[in-house]
Amino acid sequence: MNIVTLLEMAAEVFPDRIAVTDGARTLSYAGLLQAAQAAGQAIRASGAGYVSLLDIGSLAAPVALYGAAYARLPYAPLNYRLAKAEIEALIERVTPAYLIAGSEFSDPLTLGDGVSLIGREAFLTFDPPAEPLSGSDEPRDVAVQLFTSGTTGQPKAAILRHGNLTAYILGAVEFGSAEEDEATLVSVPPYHIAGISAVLSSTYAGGAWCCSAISSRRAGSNWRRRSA
Amino acid sequence: MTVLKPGLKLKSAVCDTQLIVIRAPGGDIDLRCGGAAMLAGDAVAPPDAAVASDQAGGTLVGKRYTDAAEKIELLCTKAGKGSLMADGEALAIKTAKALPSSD
Repeated sequence: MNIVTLLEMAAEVFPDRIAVTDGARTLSYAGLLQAAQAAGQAIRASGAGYVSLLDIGSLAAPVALYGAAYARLPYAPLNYRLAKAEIEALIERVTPAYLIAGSEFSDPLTLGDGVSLIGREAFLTFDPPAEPLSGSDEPRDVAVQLFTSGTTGQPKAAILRHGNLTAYILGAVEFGSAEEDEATLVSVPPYHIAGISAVLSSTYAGGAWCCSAISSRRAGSNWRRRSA
Repeated sequence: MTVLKPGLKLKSAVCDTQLIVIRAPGGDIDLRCGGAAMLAGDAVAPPDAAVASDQAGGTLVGKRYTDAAEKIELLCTKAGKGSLMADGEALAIKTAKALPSSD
C-alpha cells in the first residue's frame, strides 16, 4: 500500500473538508489531492531522483510529501537549522534533487547543477495532469528518507518505506475519526518524523492540519512565546 | 480465484466496494463481494450483475476486514452494499484486541 492511498480515501469521502491551513489559506482534501497530483507531474518532468524540502511548515509540506509519492521518488526533507555547509552536504547526497525551499533558506546556498530549485509559493501553482497519476503498488519502495541530526558524525539516512508508514497509520489511526471542525496544530518541523506522521495521521483521520506560524530559526522559543 | 498479494487493489463486481489487500496467505482465494467474485485491475463486471440478497450486509470505508483466523486482512477504501466472503467464510470488521495483562 502507498501513502497516497490514505489521501485518496480522505479525498473520496471528505472532498470539501479542510485538509491543511496556514492560517490565511486552506486546501480542502480534494484540493490537496489535486495539488499533490500537479506537483507529482512537475517533479516527474524534472528528472530528479529525490524530492527535498528545506523549509518551515507550510502548505507546501503535505503537497511535497504526497507529490513525491505520485512522482514515485523518496521525499527527503532537510533540517533548515543546520549550518550552510552541512545543508549543502546533505543536498549533495540527494542530488539529482527537486528542492522546494523558502528563499530565506535557499538564498545563502551554493547549489550544484543537479538541483532543480523551486520556491514554496511557485510549487503550489502547477496545473493538475490530464490523466490522474497513481502511486507505486510496491510497498518496499522508499516513501521518506530522513537524515539523523548528525551529533555523532555524518547524518545517517533513515529509510521509511510505503509499507512501514501505512502499517503505522492503519494500526494507530481510525479512518475518519476526526470531527469536521477538529484540527491538529503542528508545531514540529517538517524534517522530523513527528512532522511526517502528523500529516499522514491527520489525513487518515480526516481532520485539518494547521502549520504553525513559526518563522524564526529559534522556533522553539518563539513558539513558546506565541502560545503563552 | 485470485492470488492475493499485499497492495493489490480489488473492486466489487456488483457494488461500489473497493479494497486493498493488507495481508494474505499464499495460494488462490475465492474472494467475493455481494456474492460475486471480486475484480482486479481493469476487469469489467458483467452488466447484469447484482448484489445477492443474502450477501448485502455492506462494507464501510476505512474498516479492515478479516477472517476468524486473521490470515486475510483487507482494507476497504470505498464503501459498498455487498458483504465480503473468502473461500466461503464471511469476513468481519477487525476489532482491537485487548492487550495481555502486564503483571
